[in-house]
Amino acid sequence: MRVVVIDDTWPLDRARAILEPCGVTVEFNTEIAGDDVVAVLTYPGGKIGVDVLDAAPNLKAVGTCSTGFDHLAVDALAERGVWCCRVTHFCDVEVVDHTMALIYAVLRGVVMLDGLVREGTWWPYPRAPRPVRGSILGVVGFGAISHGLIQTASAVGMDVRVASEHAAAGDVAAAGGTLVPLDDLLAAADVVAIMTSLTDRTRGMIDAAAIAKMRPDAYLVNTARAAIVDHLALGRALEAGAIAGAALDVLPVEPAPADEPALTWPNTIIQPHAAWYSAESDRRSFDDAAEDVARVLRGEEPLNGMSSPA
Amino acid sequence: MTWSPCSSAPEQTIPANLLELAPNVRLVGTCSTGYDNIPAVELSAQGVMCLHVKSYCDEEVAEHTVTLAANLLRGVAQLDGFVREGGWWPYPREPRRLAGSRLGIIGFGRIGRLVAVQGDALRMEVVAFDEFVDEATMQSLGVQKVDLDTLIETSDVVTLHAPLLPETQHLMNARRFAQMRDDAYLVNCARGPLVDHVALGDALRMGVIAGAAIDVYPVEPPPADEPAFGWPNLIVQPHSAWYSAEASLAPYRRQIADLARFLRGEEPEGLIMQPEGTR
Repeated sequence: MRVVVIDDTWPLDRARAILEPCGVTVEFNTEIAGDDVVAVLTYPGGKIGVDVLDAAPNLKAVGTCSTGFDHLAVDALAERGVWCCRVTHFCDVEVVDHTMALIYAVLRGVVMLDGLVREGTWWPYPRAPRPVRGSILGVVGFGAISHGLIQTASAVGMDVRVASEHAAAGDVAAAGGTLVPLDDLLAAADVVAIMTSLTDRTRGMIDAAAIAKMRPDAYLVNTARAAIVDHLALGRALEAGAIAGAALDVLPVEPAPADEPALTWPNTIIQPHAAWYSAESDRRSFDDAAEDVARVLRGEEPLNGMSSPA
Repeated sequence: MTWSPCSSAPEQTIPANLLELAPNVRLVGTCSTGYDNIPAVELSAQGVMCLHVKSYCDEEVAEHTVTLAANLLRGVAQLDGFVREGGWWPYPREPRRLAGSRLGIIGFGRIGRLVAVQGDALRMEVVAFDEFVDEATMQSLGVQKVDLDTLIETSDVVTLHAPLLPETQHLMNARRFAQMRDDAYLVNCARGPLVDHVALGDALRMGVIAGAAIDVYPVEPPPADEPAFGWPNLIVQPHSAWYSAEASLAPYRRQIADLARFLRGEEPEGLIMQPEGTR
């Protein structure tokens, strides 16, 4: 029996250590074919449709090294008896750390000041740094990562306001924040951090009207998903000086094309979808997916299976 | 009035023969915390009261330091440049966790302690070296006291918060850089001469350490041909750690308040040392 890995960056030695005890061999292959193929390990760029069963009829599990699963035909595969497994919470610590680094960066102006000093400017006045302690952080969303961000930001002395449709005020207070309506958060915050998942309800939630409610000296930090923010409205606000700046780890098209407009916006830090990364989280994304596939092969229920097979 | 006060900013140096030039000066104040621009020992010996401003920007310096430490570990500035060159994904820079990373603080005075509190809030493992601060004081802030060799050899980020004195000049030199981990970073928001600048350039260019962030230089403002602008993996700042709108006014306010105390015959808060003949 074989497990086919279609991602050439996947550390095969680790996949083998996890899966070979289940009595399978693990190989890298761009082709998923054969009666002996029982599982596939994939990544966001590797689509798996239900037609995979035409060439590999005995497939039992598909594991992806990502939280997002829009590249997998989850329900159709479940109907044909195949588990699709993703990985969750493998980078919560990293996203909190990176978001904090960006909040500090925008308030203290470090990236812009680095550019200014190289151009011959001295003293920080053109990009006056602001205090972190006492500044208001507005966190949009209340999931596992925002919970960690609220705890950390309140520990460094920020005044944390949270907007969420489903959160209870007591839970937000226990994390160190104050639950407020979104409009109040936007009007008050020195930094607005987008921390919600992308759903039909949150798509375009931070639109031109929402951005217009922000303070002219406020910053927007987005380490969640680009489509939550109206990208072109954000660009217009930055170019008009209607807000002070932004830090974006996510863009509407990734990798960023050469004509990505954000590359020319003023006071904008851009990151290459880096918030999730550390050596530890990188390893966990692969190992957690392989371990869940091993559970299926051992006849157990996976921890992060998405749709129970018929 | 037979005497006059004299005020200075950190970029202005007061000469040791000040009384030859202005014989009636009885008070010299600098609107900065560092007072290496005032010949305080010489002037105090001649009966001149020398003042600096104590702790008007401790919190700002601590926050700027932690900002630079976090930005080095997460690779923010370098990744921003990488995206603008057409790159994507974090692999060339490999951001590291703040949580669990070891932050080594050299000099555990007011600013060093505030850096420790912020580092602890970011879930970093904080260690410190300061020969004048005991273990219990450090432990009360969740900080482990270590010797200088251990701090330099084991820290993910080494940050300097020592005063500039003859014995702290070039505290970080070629031998110290060689002791650091090759994946470690240096932050200097204190004073430029604490670091052997040429040795830092060598360490960065040869990959002896992973990177650095400096807010201070041997000569400020740095000249147009400052070599640091060509070194890899370096964040440079225009002496900005001290700044916030409030902190930018505080030293002038406090200097004036101290001058008023002096005029009323009270002891100024920012006295550097007791001048001769006033004890």
